[in-house]
Amino acid sequence: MEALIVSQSPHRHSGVTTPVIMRDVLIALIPALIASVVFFGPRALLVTAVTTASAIFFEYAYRRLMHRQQTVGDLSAAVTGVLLAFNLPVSIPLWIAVIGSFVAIVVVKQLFGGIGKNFANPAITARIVLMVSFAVHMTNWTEPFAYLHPQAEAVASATPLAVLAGSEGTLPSPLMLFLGNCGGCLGETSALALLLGGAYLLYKRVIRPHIPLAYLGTVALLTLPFGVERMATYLFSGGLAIGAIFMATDYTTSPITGKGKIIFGIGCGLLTVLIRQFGSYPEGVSFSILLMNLLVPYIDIWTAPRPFGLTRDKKKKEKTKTAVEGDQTPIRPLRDVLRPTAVLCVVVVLIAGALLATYRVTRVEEETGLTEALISELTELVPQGADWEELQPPASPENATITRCFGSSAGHVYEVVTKSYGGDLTLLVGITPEGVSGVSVTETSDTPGLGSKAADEGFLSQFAGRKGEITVAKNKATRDSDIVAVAGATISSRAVTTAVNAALAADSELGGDGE
Amino acid sequence: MKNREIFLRGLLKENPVLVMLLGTCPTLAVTTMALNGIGMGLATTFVLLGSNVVISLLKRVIPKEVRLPCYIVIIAGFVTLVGFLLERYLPALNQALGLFLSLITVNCIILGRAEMFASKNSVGKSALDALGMGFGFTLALFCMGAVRELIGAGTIFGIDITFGVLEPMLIFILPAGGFFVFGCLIALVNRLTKGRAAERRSQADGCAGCPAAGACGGCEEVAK
Repeated sequence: MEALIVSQSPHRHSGVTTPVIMRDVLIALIPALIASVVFFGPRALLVTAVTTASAIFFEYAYRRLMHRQQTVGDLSAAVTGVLLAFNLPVSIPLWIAVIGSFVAIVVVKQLFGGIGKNFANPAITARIVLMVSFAVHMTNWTEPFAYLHPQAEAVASATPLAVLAGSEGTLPSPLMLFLGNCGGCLGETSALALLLGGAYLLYKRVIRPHIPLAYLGTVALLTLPFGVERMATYLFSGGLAIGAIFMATDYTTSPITGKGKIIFGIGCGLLTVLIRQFGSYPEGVSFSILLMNLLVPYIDIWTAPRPFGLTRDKKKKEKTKTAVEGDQTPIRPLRDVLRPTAVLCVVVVLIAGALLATYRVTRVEEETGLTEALISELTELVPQGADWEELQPPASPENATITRCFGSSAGHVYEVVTKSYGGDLTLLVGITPEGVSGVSVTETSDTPGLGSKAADEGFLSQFAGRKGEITVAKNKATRDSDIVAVAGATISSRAVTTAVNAALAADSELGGDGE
Repeated sequence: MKNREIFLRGLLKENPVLVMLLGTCPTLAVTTMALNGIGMGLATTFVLLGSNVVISLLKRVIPKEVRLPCYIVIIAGFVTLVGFLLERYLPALNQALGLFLSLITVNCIILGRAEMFASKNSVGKSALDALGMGFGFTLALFCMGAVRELIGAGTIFGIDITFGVLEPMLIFILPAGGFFVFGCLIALVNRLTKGRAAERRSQADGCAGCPAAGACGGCEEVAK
């Protein structure tokens, strides 16, 4: 006769353990891996191998060093490694991929206690860290099948989303996007392969459909007003599919209840569309998932299910009577009021006096017209310039505005405002009879690390000595009038060039003889 | 308390930023370069020294009811003074610190030291306390700035050390990287003080567990 065992639930184990779940996720990622090798060549496999191996190594090494229980066998590090690789472009330098694994495993996952305790998705966070840190490498997209023609020069291609945001390039058809025949990260391009994997996960009940459906549905609904083709482009491009199916559904960083999952998915979709439409980065999937990850604890509290049989507590609105009686403040003697007031006034007067004295010593005589700082800035742009004076700004061309104009003995400086990727771009252009003598960007709101590079000396020095219409070349200057755009920042480069051209045109109108 | 200890504790054991976690806003905002960190730290030290000395001098004159407005006016006076001086003599630093220079006024380290220490101690001790806390603040800001500048921009004091080969990790000079370095430095200080700062906090409940409990005396008032 068997002994009667009395214990708390659960009483049965379903047999589903972490390694089993992770193995299923890895299996579900195989179609996307095959697609990435087909489109981007064997190097895709190499990048995946490097991130996976380094992720496993960091997990093992950290647990070992910290004398914690070894968790490397649960395969979660391998899943993180593969997902990270799928979020990198194929041309990524391998050392950057290893840094990504370090951020994902050590910083995001292990520092917070390891599997099940991280507050954000490791692969997503690592991608964002790399994106912000090495923007140029992270947006160096190669054309699909470019590996078949190794002799041909590597062609950088804009992603469909960058094209939507205004980059040069043609938009692939929705069908091509669905298959994955477009520029982008390793594993994100082929929506078909990702959906296959997602179907497998659903069939195996590893994930539930709430988050992917709510996420994709929200994006579809919000972009439908722009037309069906635009909606399809939005849905099948960028990291949306991999994000909705594999990243947003991470157990640790998504809500527990179905209702919570739907709220989570809708939030992700909303943020993605907002960032893609209005943000300074063309892609917003990773940012929106990370932001929603942070909200998961609150969503969980908000959607916590009511225990069976309990009714909701009625909020008791009891008005507590405030005790007013017998608490009247005694009338204070006048002295007690006057003294603090007097002391405060004396302190204020003394400090004000001290400041006045300092101000008299340190103040600079107000200069009429141009300040010293401005003149030194102007002289840097027109080195031989002297006797600076502000002139009436000449008429502006249509795509730029000339806001100010300064004249000197050697040349003119124009302040030009033009539209760039992130908003207005303001720059000063110095022009002498020999051509452009100096360009400096005074205000830019372009993407840090990409568009902001168009304000760097290296790019701006190309303008020195130019005359006549300047054109922008993407990779290599082919014409005499060409300057080479900053990699990954064609729009910003073009905006700077437009402004310089506007200044040149204005200068020739003024006479351009530097008088 | 010995004078030596009054000065030394601000550097590490009761470091205002890394142990007491005061003045976090300027710490994160201006430390994108080591030089900015030092500039901000020294400007704050100057204000702290001035306000601590003046408040200690006036501790018997200022009535309890208006002490906070008085302290703030004195602190704001010194901040404006530093602003004038920097504008005239170090315009580059003035521009780099920007808004955060005026915000020294509301830096809780300064008001904290005024309330906790200067209003209860002699002028000499208050000056020592100000120097210790100020240098502790400067040290913390310098360390943060140096790490962030080195990894985020690949430079040390503005000198490029990447030789065109290494690539800086831009995120370190952005806010997210600031928080990361901040957390790592706090962990390091905790390790250096053998976790004493954290331990004391966890052992005692509430006010008494604060590293500044000895100087503040607020917990005794709470106990009453």
